[in-house]
Amino acid sequence: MLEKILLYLDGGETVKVLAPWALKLAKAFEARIFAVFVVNQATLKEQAQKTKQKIKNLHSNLEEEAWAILYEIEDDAFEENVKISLILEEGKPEERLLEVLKSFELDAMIVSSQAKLDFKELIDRCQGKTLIIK
Amino acid sequence: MQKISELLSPPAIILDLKANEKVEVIKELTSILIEQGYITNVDEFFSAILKRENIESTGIGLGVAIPHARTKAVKDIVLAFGRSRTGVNFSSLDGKPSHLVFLIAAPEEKKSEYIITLARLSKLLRNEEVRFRLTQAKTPDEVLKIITKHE
Repeated sequence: MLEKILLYLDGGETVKVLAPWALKLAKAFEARIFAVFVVNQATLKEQAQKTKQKIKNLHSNLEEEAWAILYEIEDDAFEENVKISLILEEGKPEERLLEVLKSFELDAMIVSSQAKLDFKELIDRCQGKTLIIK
Repeated sequence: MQKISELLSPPAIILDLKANEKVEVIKELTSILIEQGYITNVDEFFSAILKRENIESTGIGLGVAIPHARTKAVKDIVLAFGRSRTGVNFSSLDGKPSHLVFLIAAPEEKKSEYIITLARLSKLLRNEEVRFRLTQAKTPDEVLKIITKHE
């Protein structure tokens, strides 16, 4: 039985592919989705070095994009009558995801196979929770 | 795309909300938008905004709530802001009461503007300095100046 499902979103493409599927799953189980976006500081630093842009500006743009992604799926959830909570975190994605999983006592986590994540770390540390890599 | 400060007007700002319960706060803020002529069908708007509250918590944490609805009952995108000294329970994930409440009403057909407005407002309100200044503002004009400066 799935009651609370973490859905990790890390960009536009994952929303298009993963979100509709996750909403279907949540609807089937009458589960609540916890949609999570993590602003990764390490990635921002890399981008700043590559693009010569200020981290502050990149951070601001990414945060706005993250909220837009979260509200986009919230709007879809509303249409589908699926309960949803939006969470924006900062830091190392694997750490934040595992923290959210634990603190809200979630049953499962859905991530894209394309996500830039250490899957071994997630599998090792998800403490018997269902991990769906799609 | 309009800025947050362009979607909020001084008459739509309540510095000391009378209500201290979620639904009553939403009604208090909505009543301003009705007076301003933005809401064409009050029942439909309430139904949409309360349905959304049931689907999700619009308390985004950090003492902030953003109740919102996109429905045919709204003429154009508009905001109302209310400040609660006591705080209101919007079932935020961090468990804290909301002191700063921004209500967003949008017409059905303006989905992308609505999403961007929600995103910009959420980003703005994660700024600790903005939240602090909004709690200290003494007039509606001051609220708008704070938003204009930081958006």
